[in-house]
Amino acid sequence: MSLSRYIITRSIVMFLVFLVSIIFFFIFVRALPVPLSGGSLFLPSQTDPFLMSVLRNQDDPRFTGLVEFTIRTFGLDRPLIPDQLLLFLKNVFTFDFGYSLYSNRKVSDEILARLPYTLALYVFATIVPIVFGYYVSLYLAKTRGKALDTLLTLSGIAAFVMPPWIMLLLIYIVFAYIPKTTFGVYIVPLPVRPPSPSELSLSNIAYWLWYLTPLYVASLISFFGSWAYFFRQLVIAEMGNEYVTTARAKGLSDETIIFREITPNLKPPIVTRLAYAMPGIFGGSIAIEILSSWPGIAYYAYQAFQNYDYPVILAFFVVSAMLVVISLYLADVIIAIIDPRVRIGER
Amino acid sequence: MSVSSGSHVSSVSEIIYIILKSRKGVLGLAIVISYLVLGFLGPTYLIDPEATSQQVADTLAVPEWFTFFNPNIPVNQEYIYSGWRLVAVEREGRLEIDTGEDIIKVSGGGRGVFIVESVDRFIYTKDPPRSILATVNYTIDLRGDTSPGYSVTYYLYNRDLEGSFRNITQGDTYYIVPRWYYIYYRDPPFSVLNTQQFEHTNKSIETSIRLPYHMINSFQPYKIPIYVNPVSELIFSKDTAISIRINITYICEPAARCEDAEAVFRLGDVKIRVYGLAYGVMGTDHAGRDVFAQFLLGARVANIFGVSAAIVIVFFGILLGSIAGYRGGSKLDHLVSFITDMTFMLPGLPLLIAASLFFGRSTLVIYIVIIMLSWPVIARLSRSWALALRNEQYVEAAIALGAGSGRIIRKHIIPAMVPLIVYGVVIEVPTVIFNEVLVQLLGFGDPTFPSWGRMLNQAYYEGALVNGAWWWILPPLTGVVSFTLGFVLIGLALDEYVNPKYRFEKAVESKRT
Repeated sequence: MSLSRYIITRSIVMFLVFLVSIIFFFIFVRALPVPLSGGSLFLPSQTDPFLMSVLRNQDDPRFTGLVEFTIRTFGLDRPLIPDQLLLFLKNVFTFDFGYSLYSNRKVSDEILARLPYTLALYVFATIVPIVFGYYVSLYLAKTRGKALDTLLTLSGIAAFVMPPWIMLLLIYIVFAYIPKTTFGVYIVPLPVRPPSPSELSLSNIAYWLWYLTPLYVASLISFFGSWAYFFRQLVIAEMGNEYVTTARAKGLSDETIIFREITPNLKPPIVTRLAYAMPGIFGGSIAIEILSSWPGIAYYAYQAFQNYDYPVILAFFVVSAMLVVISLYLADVIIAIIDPRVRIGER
Repeated sequence: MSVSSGSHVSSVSEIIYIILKSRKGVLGLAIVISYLVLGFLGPTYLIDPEATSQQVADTLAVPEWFTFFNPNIPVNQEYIYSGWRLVAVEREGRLEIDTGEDIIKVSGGGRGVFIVESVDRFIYTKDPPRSILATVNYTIDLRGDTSPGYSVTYYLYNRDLEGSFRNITQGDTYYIVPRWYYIYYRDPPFSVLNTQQFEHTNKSIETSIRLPYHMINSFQPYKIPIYVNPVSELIFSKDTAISIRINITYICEPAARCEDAEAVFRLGDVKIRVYGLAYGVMGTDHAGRDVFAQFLLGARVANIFGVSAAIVIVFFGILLGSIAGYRGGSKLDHLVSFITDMTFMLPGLPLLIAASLFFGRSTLVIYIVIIMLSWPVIARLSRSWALALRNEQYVEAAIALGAGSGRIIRKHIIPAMVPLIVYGVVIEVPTVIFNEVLVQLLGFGDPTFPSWGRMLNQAYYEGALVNGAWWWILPPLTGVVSFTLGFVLIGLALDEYVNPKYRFEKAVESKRT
């Protein structure tokens, strides 16, 4: 299979996955509560929580245009299936979710303005721990059974029981609250005054980086352990192969064997594992986003949840599903370029 | 693919033997069993069940073992004052008084003020508390054609501080506040003395007042600035005696019409409850509830919720996976595999947030969504097992004997998967617990569900960190980490036997939302 053909096949599969997950989401989350509360799926229903929430604003003069507009955008006065489902799919692909019921601003604009903040966390949490874990485990491959190696194994086990949000809580306790309350100094900032999306400028970039430090450290420590453990197992498994014995017989040094002979074989398993890990990494990074009040899309959804702002929550799920699918697709493509074996179906 | 080296493991006792053979497994089993015991026996035998939802001590009280280092920290104390004596009388007109053990009978026309003091005085030996609960208990019986007016005032009285004042400056204002008495109850509250009753009354009052209470500050004959806590800064002091005084006023005028007027005051016991600043094993939270009790209840919830959800997940995973594996390569297999891959790619946390908005905050919805998101891990594992088991000789023999595929899956495939079932439950418990705790921590869960996640949510968002209340945030945090660590260690011990190819961390890592 040529590279371009592989890429096209993956695009179709990923598009299908995205479509099915949106339809599943609509049926499970949007439609299911209606029959549960005594309404009907195939007739216009008054028990829809979304519709009830929209109508609550009906008598408010500031929202009169908005109520009608929202009902029209999502087809709330029509049956859920199929009218509202089709309208929702149309909204998803035109990226139009109407206006926020709370702030009266366009939802897609609000989401797009916050997307870079989420990506700043998600991209870091995906890439840096892999790179870090890869090199650390390669360098430690020679020290099997020694103290450093044990530390690596322990950090692998710790990664199972320390998701990034628990790590972040610990970092905040140890490096933010304890120094602040006992000595009155800040090592990392408290999660109370996040940088506002409107004030990005060169002058306060230092504060931005300082605010990001605990988030980055938490996701790095938490994800690094499991990657390093994974690579270590891979390297050890590869060491037992005959080509390593041959290389050794040729008189090659350990470094040459590891960095020239073994590393090419480590790449394909990464993509398989990444496919499993990506949704988890995304979940972890949006969890620490909410805990630290970092102004990304998840924190926006958190505020929307408290204000019963239904359009924002719908848009939030769609954007999340899109991010996960796109990142998996990118990983697929990059690995296919690096490693030709993937394309012929050796995954 | 041949059957993995786990195929010789077939019964639960052999699995336990494998776990006990490795150090990790023994440690993990010990952790799990201790949480099992703690969770199921603890809430029944170690704590008062009401302590999880009711105030038991002061807010943010430290653990009681702190008193070992600093014996002056106040602990919960209760003083009961019974028995009263008349200490001062001031009267005009023709009043007659008759006093008994706990009864004061006044009759006739005129006015009089009677001060009654408790016989008991208690020496308070610790640092002043931040808050107390004071009770009032009396009965008034008013008789006669023109029944008299009255007023009853209860106050805390500290004879050792008599004559001492506290000087407080607030801006330009300078307050001199007397320290030896503090009114905590008055009946009638706002109008004094002129309430002459024209009805026969027989009323019984039994109530409790929590101090400090800013409305009561306005009852005092002196002024107290709003930020001064009268309990800790005025009336309570180390090594002084606290007693209760009651000020009873009687009025019946004009005297000529009060020939048969009579008032009988019966004074019951008064309780002063000092809310401790040190309580229990793990102190209290922002509402004065016992942290240790919540921790134990959280352990019970984690056991029930985690293990039951894991069992359901494994049930569905094994069912779908073994059917797909047994029919490996068929259309059914492709369909199940596509659904499995699909479910992997659903963003879990956004789905949970949306579900708890549309369905309402409910533990049942979280439970169902977690199960829906987690079964693919097990389905994948059991599919590869079923693919291998399909080629075993006894399965081929069953096919040759004419057994249907449903019967083969039930009688031959699933029984051979016992180790996988145990392993699946063990690795799914951490996933379930982390998801539940995370959803609760972020505030999308049911706020009445007593889990570790709710404790963490309240501790993080209600100021455990700002107030330095580590005894409140650390128990649920260590609870989550160590409880899941137990299962992870057992999983690692089983990993090598159950499943040498499929690495353990994939299973855990993949569904951490």
